[in-house]
Amino acid sequence: MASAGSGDEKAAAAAMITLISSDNEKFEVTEATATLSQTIRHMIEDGCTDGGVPLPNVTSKILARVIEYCKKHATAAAGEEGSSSSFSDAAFLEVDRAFLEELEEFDDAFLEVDRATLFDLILAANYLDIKGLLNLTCQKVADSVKGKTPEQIREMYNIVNDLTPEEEAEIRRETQWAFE
Amino acid sequence: MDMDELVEGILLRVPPDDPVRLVLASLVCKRWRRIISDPGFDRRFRPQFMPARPCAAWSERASALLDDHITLSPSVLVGNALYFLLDYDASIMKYDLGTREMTVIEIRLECVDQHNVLMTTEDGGLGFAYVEKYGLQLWSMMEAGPNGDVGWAKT
Repeated sequence: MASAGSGDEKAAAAAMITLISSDNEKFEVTEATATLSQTIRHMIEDGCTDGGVPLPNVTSKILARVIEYCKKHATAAAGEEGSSSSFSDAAFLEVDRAFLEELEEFDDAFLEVDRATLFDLILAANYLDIKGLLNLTCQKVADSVKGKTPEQIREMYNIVNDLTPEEEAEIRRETQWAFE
Repeated sequence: MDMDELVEGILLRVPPDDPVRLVLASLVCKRWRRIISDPGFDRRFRPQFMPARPCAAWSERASALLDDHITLSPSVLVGNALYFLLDYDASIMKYDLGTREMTVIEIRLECVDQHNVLMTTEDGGLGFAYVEKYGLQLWSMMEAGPNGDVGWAKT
């Protein structure tokens, strides 16, 4: 393999980035996938990715999910770029819509995780600065408290109510309109 | 990201048209309450409403029957009324912005019926200018009489 070394292969090899999780697992991804993370994009631009990118805040379990997300969305982005030049407008719109639908389905399925994983994904998306993933995961949590009472929200997210009865009464007084 | 930023990032994604959800969230615990009641949160929560987008509103339509065209020259605002020059007949339509009444005023000047222009005079009244041969004639309108007649003073 190494002896064959055509220029193309070298270019392809150069575009691969190694990500290293906190538990020391290595993930090889294309640069297109990795640069969905602004944090990694800046590291690549600064030329500090030789020997792999250590991500001490992200476990292998979460990193695998994050990479899954980035792969899908990087493919979608590349697909859109490619199709814009080779299809008529109508065909392009059709392809575009199909892409978006597929991506939406992927995102929905991607979010079918337990709450602990969801929070780990938020933290990873924030640390790696992946806007789309941060949006997606935070929105999922925001949606989950829809129509829930404070007590139900506490149960869902293991939150201890540390408000005193006086404070609670005060909030209810200030926001009387919401309870009418 | 500390816990406050995480919680804020989530609560900022509550749709702005569901403020009750935020009120209930503020009853969850001290942290959530503190984050939601921070003035900075409110600013970040409603950026799409700032600045307020002006919205055009139109009054009821007012209309008057005219024998004449209105010229396309700009109307003149004098006092609380707009004055439009009517074509051919050398008359003026007055639109009172307060009462939304329209009245047609005969100019009654022996002027040519072209190159007429409405203007405001130095003292803020309605002026009327036209070109006669090679001279510019300027008139200013006197108070309208009880029957709607107006007088003109040459300036």
